[in-house]
Amino acid sequence: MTMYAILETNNNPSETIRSVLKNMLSEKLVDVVLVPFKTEYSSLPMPTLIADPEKMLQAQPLAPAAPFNAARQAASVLRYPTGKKVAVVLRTCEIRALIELAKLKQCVLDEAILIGFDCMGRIENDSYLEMAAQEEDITTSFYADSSMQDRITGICKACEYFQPYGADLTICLLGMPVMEKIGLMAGTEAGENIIKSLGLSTVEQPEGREVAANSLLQKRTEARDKLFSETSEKIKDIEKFQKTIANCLNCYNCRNACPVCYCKECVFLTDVFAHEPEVLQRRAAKRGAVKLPADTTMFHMTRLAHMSHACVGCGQCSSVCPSSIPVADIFRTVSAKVQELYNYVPGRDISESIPYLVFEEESSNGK
Amino acid sequence: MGNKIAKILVVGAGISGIRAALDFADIGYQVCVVEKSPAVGGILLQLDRQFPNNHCGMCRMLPMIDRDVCSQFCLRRGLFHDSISVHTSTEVVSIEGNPGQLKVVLSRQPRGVDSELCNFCGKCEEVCPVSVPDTFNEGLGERKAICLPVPHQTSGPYSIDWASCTKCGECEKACPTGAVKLDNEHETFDMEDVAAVIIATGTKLFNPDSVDLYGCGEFPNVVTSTAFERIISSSGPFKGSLVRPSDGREVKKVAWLQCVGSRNLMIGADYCSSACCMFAIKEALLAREKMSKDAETVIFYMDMRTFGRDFQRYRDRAEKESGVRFVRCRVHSIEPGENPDDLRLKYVDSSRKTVEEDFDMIVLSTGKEPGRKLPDYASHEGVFVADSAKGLKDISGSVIGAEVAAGRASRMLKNLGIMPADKDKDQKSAGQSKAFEERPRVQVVLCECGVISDAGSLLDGIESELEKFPGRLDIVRVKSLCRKEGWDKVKQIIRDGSANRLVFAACNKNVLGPKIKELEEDTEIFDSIVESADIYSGDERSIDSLIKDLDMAVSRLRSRRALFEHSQPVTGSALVIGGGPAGLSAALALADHKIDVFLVEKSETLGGNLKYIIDKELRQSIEEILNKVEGNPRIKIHKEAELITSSGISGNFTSKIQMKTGEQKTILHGVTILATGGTAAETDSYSMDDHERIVSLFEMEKLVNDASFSGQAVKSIVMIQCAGTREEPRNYCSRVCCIKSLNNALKIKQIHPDAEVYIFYRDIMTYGDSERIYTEARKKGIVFIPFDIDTKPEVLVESGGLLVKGIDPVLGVPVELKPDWLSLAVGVVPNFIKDLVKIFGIETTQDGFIKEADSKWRPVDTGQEGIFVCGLARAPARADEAMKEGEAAAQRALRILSKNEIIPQRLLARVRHSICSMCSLCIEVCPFNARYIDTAEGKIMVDIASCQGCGTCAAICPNSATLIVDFEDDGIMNVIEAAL
Amino acid sequence: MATRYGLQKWFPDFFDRFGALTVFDLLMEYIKSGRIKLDKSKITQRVAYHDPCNYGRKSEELFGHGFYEEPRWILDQCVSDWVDLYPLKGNQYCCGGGGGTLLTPYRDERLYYGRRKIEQIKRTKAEMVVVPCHSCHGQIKAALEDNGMSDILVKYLWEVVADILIID
Repeated sequence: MTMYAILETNNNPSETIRSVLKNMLSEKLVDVVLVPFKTEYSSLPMPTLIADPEKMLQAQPLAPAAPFNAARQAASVLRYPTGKKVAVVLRTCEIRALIELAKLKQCVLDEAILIGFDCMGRIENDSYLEMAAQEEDITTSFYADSSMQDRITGICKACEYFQPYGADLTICLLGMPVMEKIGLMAGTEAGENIIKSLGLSTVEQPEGREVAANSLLQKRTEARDKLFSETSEKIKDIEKFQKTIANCLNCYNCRNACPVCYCKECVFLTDVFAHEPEVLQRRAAKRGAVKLPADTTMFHMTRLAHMSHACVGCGQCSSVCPSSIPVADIFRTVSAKVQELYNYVPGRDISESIPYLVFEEESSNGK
Repeated sequence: MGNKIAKILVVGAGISGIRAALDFADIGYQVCVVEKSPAVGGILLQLDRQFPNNHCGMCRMLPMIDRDVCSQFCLRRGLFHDSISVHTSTEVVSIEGNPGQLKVVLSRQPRGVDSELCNFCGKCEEVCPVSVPDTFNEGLGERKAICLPVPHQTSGPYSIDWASCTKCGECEKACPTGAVKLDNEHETFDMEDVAAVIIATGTKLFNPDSVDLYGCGEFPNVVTSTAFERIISSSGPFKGSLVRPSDGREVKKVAWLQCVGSRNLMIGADYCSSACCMFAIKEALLAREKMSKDAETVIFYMDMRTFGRDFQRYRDRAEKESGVRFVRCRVHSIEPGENPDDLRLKYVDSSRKTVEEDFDMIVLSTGKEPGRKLPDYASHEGVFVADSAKGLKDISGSVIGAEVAAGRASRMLKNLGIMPADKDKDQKSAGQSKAFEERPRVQVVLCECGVISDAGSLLDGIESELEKFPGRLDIVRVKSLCRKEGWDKVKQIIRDGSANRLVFAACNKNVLGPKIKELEEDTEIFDSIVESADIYSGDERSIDSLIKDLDMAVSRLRSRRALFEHSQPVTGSALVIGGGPAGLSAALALADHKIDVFLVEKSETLGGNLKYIIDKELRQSIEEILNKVEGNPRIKIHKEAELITSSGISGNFTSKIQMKTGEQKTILHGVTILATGGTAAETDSYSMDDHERIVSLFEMEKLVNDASFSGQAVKSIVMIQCAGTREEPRNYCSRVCCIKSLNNALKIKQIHPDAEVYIFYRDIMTYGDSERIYTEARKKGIVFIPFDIDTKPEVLVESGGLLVKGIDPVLGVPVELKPDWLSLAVGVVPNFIKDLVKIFGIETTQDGFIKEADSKWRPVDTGQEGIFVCGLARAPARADEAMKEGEAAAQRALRILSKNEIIPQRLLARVRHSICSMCSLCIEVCPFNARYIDTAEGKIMVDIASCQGCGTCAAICPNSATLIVDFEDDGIMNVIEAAL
Repeated sequence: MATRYGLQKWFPDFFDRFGALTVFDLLMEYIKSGRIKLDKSKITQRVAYHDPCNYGRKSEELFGHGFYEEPRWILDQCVSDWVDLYPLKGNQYCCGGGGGTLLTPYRDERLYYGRRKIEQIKRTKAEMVVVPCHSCHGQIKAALEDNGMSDILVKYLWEVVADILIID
């Protein structure tokens, strides 16, 4: 029986969550909280480490924006156990990425309390800033007015992973009249302890949640399949692929934005790709002419090879591309095929091994 | 011994000879291997795949730590090791002298082809007029009088079979390099100061032509097992198609007849050849892979000797999953079938029905030839004989036997003070680093071939293309590199020039390879800065294609970098866990090599199962070793002590043991040998606990050897074999029970000649020479009643007495016996070692035995380098076999312990710590457990003793923080680009 | 056979005084020395050779020598097309007529016992069977008749030699 508590929101769901987080701090259930936060200088909700419960006033846990994928930041706080309990409030894709990073020993989740929520998508940073200039409380409007939800990114619209995996606590918005009440569900024993310690009364999980989830899933899946078929057309052979990424500047923004691209120093910055003049000259001699930098397609192919098993479809790579290349579309489309091949869902379960570490004498797909 | 380099002579280049030679080379001695035939590899050359995993794997004998001194490719192509010289077509005539300074007289018959000049063009074979049956393919097919003796062994030159050669001289005329010389005078020569000799001459397989029963040689479709292996081999006469010799028809029904030439008193073969049952099953499985699903494979046997640990399950899988039929019947003879090419067998099946069946092909499972004797010089002092020369052994038995012989020889050498030569590695590596510190300066040497007519214009074309290469290349032409003048010119060019990279454009690598080795000794050139491209062999190629090869060679060279520098220190002592026969044997073998040993034993006495052993001879040999161990100052014995932790890497382990008192001791050691042993199994089958006269065979042994036994009234005794074993969950043969039960039975008959002894059995596992015990038992009137897993006898306790009910399958009648005693062969189980498994991270089989790295080729290694296993801990074995395994494990350990430090080999993984994200994927994925986190430094490190340079870590590392030396990403990308 | 070896083994002084030869030794001596001359072309049929138990494995077991090669050598001098019955020599199937069975009333039983011999002969498509033993001769002749194969001739080895002697 999943432990489920109902929280009254009184038209301000953000405030409800803020008070829960504040109580967690002041009751010393956790030592520090990582949560999106409106700083003095920017309207973008930046992940912020809060130690003082009073500061929780500016937290924006449910904001429909993610300036970047916060998994990397969460991982830096959780790099190794310090004896302190850390609560992190993250979107579903961020939690999934965090779990993948834990598999890669970039962080340890033993002392973390993962708090997720039913993600209705995020709005691009520039659009969000525009809206913020006009409105004070975008979050409440977002949940009150469903037409605002159409402004989320294309990648979010095609995302079927809106319910968090592996979270200790989930803020339940699906099937709930968000302006009146929302739910707080425990996914683990740690989550249950928190609900108990906060003295919240529990009920049975409302049926409406599953119904709403299924209907949203259907919508998202349709959008996803459309995205896949359109993108597959664009990259179906090497010529089309190169055309799609033709304007790439090798700025590596997409790599920087990607939460699961974890290398301390990307191989493309090392001597491996620092070609000697003779090598470049020989390439030019052999082909007649060669564009520089020489490894544009190679970069994307390599990134696909390295992390397509772990792509969580957060879409940040497209968001940051200065040449507006649909990187996220490409990566999601290819990743979906790879993940299907290995029956692997990144972030589903921390004990699930990364596909290329698993050796089977008889391969399951007969190849 | 002065400055003379100690040399060991190994006679025989089959797997035992190769193993012994490599053992000596691994610990630093120089070895000379002589082989009677023209090829290296022995019987195994004709057999592609072996049981129980149906793979080959011969290459797993190659050195894993000192790799740079030995070729690392398929051992069937030949053995090339800096410290091992191989002489084929050579035999030993006599051995004299004192051990350590033996004089050996050898006789060599020339091959007719000079290996220095032969370029493998094959023209001699083309023109030879003589065609004879191909002995390599067991007569199925033809070859010329001059040919490659083993088709895939392209390293040895062509060889003339003098018996069929007519000396017509055509080959001499056709040879372009003058390598053929028709001179077959035997040459005798001496070898002085041979430190020790290992006889590894193996056995010969029985030729069934002499057993007229089976028509081998008359019926074309009756073949020996070796011939069958050649038929299914893809390099065989039918290119791997399973067709029969008479008409090339696809084989749909094939039978194996076991025990041909063995277990046959008519020809004086009162022994079992040990391996035939298993290789018949293997052949049946390999055949099934090629045949259609409805094809039939039948094995006719008397006892299916699946006495190895994994063999019973292998047999069960063959029967239940692959549909191989097993019929217990020794067929009398083979007659022609309905169709004259078919073969008819008449036999009686288990339901006592006479059956006549026609087969497409019949395979005779031939064992060893009877009556082979070792030559007189084999008993000369200083000469050690490997087990496989005494009887047919399977691969793991041959390997262990070779290691035991090598170990005993090296112990003798240590006693005589004959040490291996010191290798001067430091000088070499200094020169090598220099070559990599500077920018590459490439010298291209184009060989102007004296044999090809238009070599000059070809080279003109190549030179003009080479000029277009970016980067500087020094190009020079030399006439005929294979001749002395050509090669001297090359040496001069190297000495006079400033090149630090060398590319040869010449012919076959087999010709160039040995010459490049010479270069290493005479100049500063070493193999990592030399590449060669073959521009002459094979069909004519375009200049473009040749240039690509050269481009690739140059790219490869350019991208090579400095060596991995750090060596790993070795702690020259060993930890042996378990003080039973195997552990004692291992400890003593190491101590005799002047290695310090820590022997840890859980109980309060040494000897392990010695306390249960009755056999006087065996007791004596174990007690001898025990006394030596206790008196040896190098062995520190800790009784009533257990291991609590162990960590570290090969050559450098730190372990902690705890005594009964609670005191803990830290031990630093270089290797670990696990000899935790086993014990009698327990079973509740056959009402074992219900009556005091139902005993295990071990208890029976004690009983019959006790003085009071003769005073007892004994009318009848029943023994039931395989009690609670050879069926799931304990589905393996315990190997010792049949021999022990038979010895018990013979003893009973000796003391009470009128007593009736009945033995219920499934298969009598008297392998090897112990077969004669079975023969004797039958002669003495002991009654054997076979049963199978579905018709087990029943044991009832009625009115205080025993009642055994069974069925006699020959008569088809029920049998009821009321014995005075019932002995159950309960088998053995390994001792409980879950804690050790955790500490060492080793793998166990589903029955709890410690898994070896490879059950055939590395039977006493575990998957972790530096940790070895022997005795009952690994698999059921008799105590004498366990002691041999202990010696073999010690010999394996010496590879590490004989060094002060482990020098890095060229092909290793290296880590660039500054960009390593510590994600540890490389540690998880390494198949050799060769990577670890150095917690003090916070870095991921490579254990260079275990790392084999396989590249799995480099493949999985996303940013190439870990690379394989000489296979770095940028280098490979450049080579690929050169090839496109 | 029993005479020659038996004499040597069991009555050695008789043997030394009088000597004894088997018919094989005698024939071989005559042929080799040229005392008799043979016309190999006379017999055109295919001939099958049967190793009798007494001359073969029984002799081998008792006296250490089985007469396998001698009759074959002799046949080689007499006939161009002769074949073995498989399994041959020491493992040859018994015809069923030995041990005195010819004297017993168990005719049907002994003929059934020799049925394998008929199969062997049939397979070779031989038209004549050569046997050096009296009992085998009688047994095989009867068995062939019983199986409707009375066209196949049954001859003694010396009979064959006699048949092809060149007498001038």
